[in-house]
Amino acid sequence: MTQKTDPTYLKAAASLVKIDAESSCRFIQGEIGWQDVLATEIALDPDTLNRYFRDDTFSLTDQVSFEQQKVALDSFGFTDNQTLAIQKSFSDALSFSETVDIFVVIQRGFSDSYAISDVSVLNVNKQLADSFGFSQVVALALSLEKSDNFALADSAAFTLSKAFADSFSQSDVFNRAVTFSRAFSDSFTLDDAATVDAFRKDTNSAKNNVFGLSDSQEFSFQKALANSFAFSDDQAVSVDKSLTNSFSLTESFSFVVVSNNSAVLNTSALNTFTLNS
Amino acid sequence: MAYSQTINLVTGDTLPELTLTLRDSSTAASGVTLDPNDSSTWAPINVSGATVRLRLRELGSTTVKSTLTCSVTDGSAGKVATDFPAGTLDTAGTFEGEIEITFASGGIQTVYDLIKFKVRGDFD
Repeated sequence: MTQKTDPTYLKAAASLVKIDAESSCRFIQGEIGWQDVLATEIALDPDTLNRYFRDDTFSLTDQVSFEQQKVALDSFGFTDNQTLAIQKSFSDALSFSETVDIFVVIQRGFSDSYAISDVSVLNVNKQLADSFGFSQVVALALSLEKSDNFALADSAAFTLSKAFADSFSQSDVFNRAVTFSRAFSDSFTLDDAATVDAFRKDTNSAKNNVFGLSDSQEFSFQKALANSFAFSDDQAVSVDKSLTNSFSLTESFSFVVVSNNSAVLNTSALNTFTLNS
Repeated sequence: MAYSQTINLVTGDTLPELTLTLRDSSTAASGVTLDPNDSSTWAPINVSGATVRLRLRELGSTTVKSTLTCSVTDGSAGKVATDFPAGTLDTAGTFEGEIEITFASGGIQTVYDLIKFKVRGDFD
């Protein structure tokens, strides 16, 4: 089947309005300028002539000093004016008067005073007070009789070698009286009754046997006092005797000189010469 | 941070002297045409009467280690110089320096670029 179409033609008409606008503006552009600092030519100078005194410190002090001084300057001026007057002098009078008064007073007052006070105070006051007290109280219940005998023997021997010997001897003799008191009292009491072969025998036996012994002994002891004192005083005196022994010897010689004698027999007295001498 | 130059130094030294010339990169020097790439065409900064300081700090640190006051050797030419006083280069490491200008009027201007210092330890 064929479909019939009826084309319809549409025609569109387009129209536009072109609007053109002109725009204009002012473009303002400013110039910005600044100092752009840069470090250039950075270099190291090993041989520089610059000197840096960073560590040197100088201090300047200014001290004001005022000195006030009084200038005492006294000036004395002497002027000498000479006046010459010439005139005729009719009289010349010269007079010299000199009065010398010497008044010398020398006053020298010597007043030396010496005061010496020397006070010596010697006060030696030695007080010797020796007191020896011996007290001995012995209580003896046994009535001890004490007798002290002191024997002093002083023998002085004076020789060249003197020996001093003082001997003191003291002996105590104690006499003791002892009294023994012994009282023995023995009492015996026997109370025993026994009946043998009696008609009556008591079964109750009352025995009163008293047996008593009493022995009292009293002993007292006492201390034997024996005081012995020994004093020895030895003095050694040495006397040196100088021993000098002198011996004297004397000897006398006697000579008999016989001369003019002859040994010839029968020419001299008999027995007066040694034969053949 | 841009560094203008790297300076190699040794600990314990007080020299060499470090010389700087401060210029304005935006102003042409007298008689020449400004060339942004040629520092010789830049006009020098007059630092007469100004105080130029070089502050050093260790790289990565915020603590100023030392401050060096430069001497103005030619103020109209922008030339300053400084040495390294005793104690400045006492430790080895990498340091960066900042230049600060205090003009006579009281104004303060600091150079943006830093100077790098490499300090090595000495033998003694």
